[in-house]
Amino acid sequence: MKFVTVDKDGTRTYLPRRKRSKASAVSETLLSVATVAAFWLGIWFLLALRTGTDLLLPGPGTVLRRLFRLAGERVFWQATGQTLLRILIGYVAGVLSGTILAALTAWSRHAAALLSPLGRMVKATPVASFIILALVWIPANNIPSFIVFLMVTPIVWDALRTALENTDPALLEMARAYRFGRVRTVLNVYLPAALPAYLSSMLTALALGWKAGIAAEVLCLPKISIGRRLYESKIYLETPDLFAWTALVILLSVLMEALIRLLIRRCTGDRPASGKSETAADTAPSEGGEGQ
Amino acid sequence: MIAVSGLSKRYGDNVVFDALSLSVPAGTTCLTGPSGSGKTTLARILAGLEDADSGTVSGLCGSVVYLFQEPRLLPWANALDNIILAAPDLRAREAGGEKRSSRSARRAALKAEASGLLAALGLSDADGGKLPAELSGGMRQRVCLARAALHCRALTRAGEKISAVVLDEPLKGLDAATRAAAVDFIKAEFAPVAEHLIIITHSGRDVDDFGGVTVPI
Repeated sequence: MKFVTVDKDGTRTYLPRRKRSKASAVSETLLSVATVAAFWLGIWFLLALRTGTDLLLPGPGTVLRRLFRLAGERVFWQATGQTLLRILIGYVAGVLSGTILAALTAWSRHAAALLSPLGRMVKATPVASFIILALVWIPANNIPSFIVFLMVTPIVWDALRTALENTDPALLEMARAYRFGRVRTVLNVYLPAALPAYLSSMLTALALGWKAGIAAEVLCLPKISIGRRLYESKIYLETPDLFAWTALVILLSVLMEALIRLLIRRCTGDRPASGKSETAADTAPSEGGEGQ
Repeated sequence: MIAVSGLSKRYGDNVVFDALSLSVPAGTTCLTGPSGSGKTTLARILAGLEDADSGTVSGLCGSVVYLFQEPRLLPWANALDNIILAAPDLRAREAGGEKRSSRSARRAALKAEASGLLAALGLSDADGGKLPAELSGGMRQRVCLARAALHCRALTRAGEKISAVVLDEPLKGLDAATRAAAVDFIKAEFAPVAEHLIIITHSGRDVDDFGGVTVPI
């Protein structure tokens, strides 16, 4: 809908905008999500119909029925709980170690010189190599957590260190001039400036953590795990099961991401995400007078 | 008196000033000059934020309070929080043997003091709760003045000698009404406690408003 009309003589008429209520905004979002979901489910359904066999591509109905059937089994919940726990442990440990390493390497050049090769090496090494190596070192049950930890750490470390190093020097100079002191500078300048990049890296790391964690389970086959169920589905050519477990992984990943987003929103409120100060170049309205 | 002698500063090939010598007497001084003459650079050197390449600056024995030319407010903190952060944590030194107030009581007292400073500059309590992005350029400038004033007060309370208050274009972006209030505020807050009150400006009107000595650069 247009909120401004322009006449032939160039006169612009502005129409008042009707503010959307929260309920209507939610229903619009739901409608949009439902439309998109229906479109892709339709594509999937048509492809499955054309394939004609569940062995190659089961349809959405078959997968949903299989998922409900699996949910009735005790092992389903055990595997889900164990996998969730493994990934959560690796993720939390990764975020913590990434945070500590970022603080350390942003603070000290010597620490950065010493530890940076380690970060680069972890980022460049294929996940499969780590998984196979880890099989030699640690029990299969703990490998997925270890792999998630290895994937999450460098992402959080890199993002947070870059954000800390890019803190607006004008604000840091101001903090020095007004004698904030070390603690208040960290709490009031560095941390708020780095927060958006830090939180965003946590979300990126979560998605990668899930992928790497499930891959590790498939290769290490812990006794009770989603990864083992996926592997067995492949071995026994139970393609609908494969799809059902995969759908479960996607659902868990999305739910966990939503939970973290909620936590982030709770922690940060409506604070502005920008890390830069308002400088002379900004475009805020001034009150006229000299110096304009 | 602050004596600047043979001061030189360059950024790469750009010579800001070469062998600059001038004196700033005690009291109020307007440091004037056209844009690009090096006023801000000199102010930053006086405030200890930057080093000169050569030369000497003498007569600054004590703290220097500086008002930046641009607002430099924390975008994630409201106006009041931006102001009270500039009160250095000097509890141990403040008023010698006086009873230490709790952290929250001290914060509340600082907020009340900051609100008073904002009111003197024509800003309301509601303005104090706004983020810098929600304030106009002139309002931000006044928040910065209040911040410098609170910093100055905190140092004075801690028994520190304020050798100079250097205000870089303190009336930038203010309209006629708020400008008059800001001039009165600066005269009342800084002039009595600072040995030298240095106003950096390129405006003749500022020189007329503040009076004192004019030192061209």
